[in-house]
Amino acid sequence: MTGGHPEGGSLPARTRHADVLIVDDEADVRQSVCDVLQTSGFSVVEAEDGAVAFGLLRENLYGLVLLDIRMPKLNGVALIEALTEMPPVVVHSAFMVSVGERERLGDKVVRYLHKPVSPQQLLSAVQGVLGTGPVT
Amino acid sequence: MTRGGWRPSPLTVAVTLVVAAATVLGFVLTSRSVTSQNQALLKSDTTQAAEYVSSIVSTVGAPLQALASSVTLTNGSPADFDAQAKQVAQTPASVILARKTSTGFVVTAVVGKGFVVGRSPGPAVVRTLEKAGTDLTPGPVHYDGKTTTLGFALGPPLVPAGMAIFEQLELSPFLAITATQGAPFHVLRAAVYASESPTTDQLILANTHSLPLVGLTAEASVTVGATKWWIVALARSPLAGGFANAAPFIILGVGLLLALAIGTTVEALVRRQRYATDLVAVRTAELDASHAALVRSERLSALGEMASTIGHELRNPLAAVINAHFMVRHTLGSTITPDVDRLLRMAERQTTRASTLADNLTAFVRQREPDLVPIDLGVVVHEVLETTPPPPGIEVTVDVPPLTLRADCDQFTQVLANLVVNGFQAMPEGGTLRIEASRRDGHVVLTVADSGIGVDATTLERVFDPFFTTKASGTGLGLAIVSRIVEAHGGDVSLCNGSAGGAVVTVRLPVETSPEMARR
Repeated sequence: MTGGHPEGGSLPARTRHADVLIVDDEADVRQSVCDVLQTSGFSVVEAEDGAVAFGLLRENLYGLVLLDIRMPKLNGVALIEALTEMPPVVVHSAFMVSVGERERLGDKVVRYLHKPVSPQQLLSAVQGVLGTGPVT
Repeated sequence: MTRGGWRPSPLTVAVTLVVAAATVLGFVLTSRSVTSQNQALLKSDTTQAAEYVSSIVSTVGAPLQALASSVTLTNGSPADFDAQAKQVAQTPASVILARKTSTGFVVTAVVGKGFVVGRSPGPAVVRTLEKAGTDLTPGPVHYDGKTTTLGFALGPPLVPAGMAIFEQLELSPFLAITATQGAPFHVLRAAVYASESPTTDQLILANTHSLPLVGLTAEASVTVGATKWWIVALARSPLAGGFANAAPFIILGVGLLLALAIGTTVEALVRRQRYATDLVAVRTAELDASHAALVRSERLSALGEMASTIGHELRNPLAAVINAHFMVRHTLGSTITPDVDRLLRMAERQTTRASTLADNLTAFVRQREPDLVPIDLGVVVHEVLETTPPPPGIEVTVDVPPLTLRADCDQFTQVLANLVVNGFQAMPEGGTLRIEASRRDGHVVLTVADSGIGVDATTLERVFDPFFTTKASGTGLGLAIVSRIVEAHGGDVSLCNGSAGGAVVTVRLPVETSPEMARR
């Protein structure tokens, strides 16, 4: 996990670092989601806010980003808009994303999950993007 | 705000009556004044007429006095009397010389007709001759309906003692004679009688045939020698003048018109004031309602803000706890003991309940605009009962005819689901839930009635307030969400106690909800 400030621009050549990048400022949520996904065999990397996630996404490639919206430093919507290239995003937020924001984000977000969701729903959403099992 | 119709206000009636009463009073007082003035003038004119008649009559005595002097000079010679009397007695007059005897008066000489020398001139004439003296003494008067007969006598000392002369005249009372041509008679209808009471056979003169005179009359005495005649008069036209006599009626007319005008003005002012008062009351009521709505809106807004914060703050912990339950169950796998499994189930159950609360809070706060589509009421009822089946001991009866309305399918489903769940929860000992629907006045009316214990008055007042609940485990948002959704559809919802007990919730939704109505 590396920190850093968002600067925008295109991403350098990267290799896939993990299946899922979990971005959430709530440590317990982040950890529990990490545990659930790992029990199903997915590799995960955690980021505690949008700014950290921005740095990771510039350096590494992920199968999908499980993204919280309201976070300090850089929120989820701003993170998506700051990057020109981005893996598929599954929003996982306690807040509803407004219709206007959904329109702006377009198809960069493939699924919206409204916390709390069951582990089964969470796994189903991740599997829906990455396939039935973890990427090897 | 129309009231009163054509009925005037009490103030208008009072003011109009006061002005009208003042007018009538003015009319009466002025009438009396004018009448009094007319009477005074009539009396004055009648007195003048009497004096005029008196002066005319006195001129009649001059030739008779000259004859008396001649009788004295000739010492009562009948021959000389005849010669002198012929100058006095012009037709139709008769003149006699009478001498007093022991049996009364006897005619000694006569010029004219009606008397015989050597005989008595008659008792009435004798009574006149008995009273005759220096002053002209009028004799008996008699009106036979055509002609009036009257006479005058003179006695000693104008003639020798024991003698008297008497002139008897015949005249038509209605012929224009000097006495009734005088100025005072121009404005009067008058009659002169020999008696004080206007007796017909005592009529001497008159300038009118309308006898006896009736109405506002005046009387005055006419001095004739030592006795009196009487004149009775009536004004030909009001003596005080036409304007003076019209004045009371002018006052009455103008006063009544004034009363009408003032009454109309007062009524207009009263109605304006009443209208203004009513308008103020209506505006005040509107302002009160608006203020109450604003207060409620602000209260709901504050509640919504709080609900939103609580809801969102619950979601992250719940997400972590749910995942943690999953991990515990996953970690223990088949080694889980029944006690741990029971405790885990309890934790999962309560977590699900907390999640439902968070969902309700979100549903209450984030009410989206209805997406109106035609929905089949029967289908929605069926789906709700399928996803929310009745607990054991509760029977559900459905009487919903084929009805289609335009509504947001998800929101309407939530309305019905909330009402059904509420009904089930109101009957912990079991009972019957009746779901009925009908179409009335362009609305679909849906009722959900339970057979529970019903609700008390306090609950009835607050049952749709958010966070108000009588249940130990309720969030108090179910009916608040129902109310919000129904109002967003342009409908209304109410709750009352059914006649057979239990609570009845009635939802009225317009069949054709317009987008504008739905956004209200």
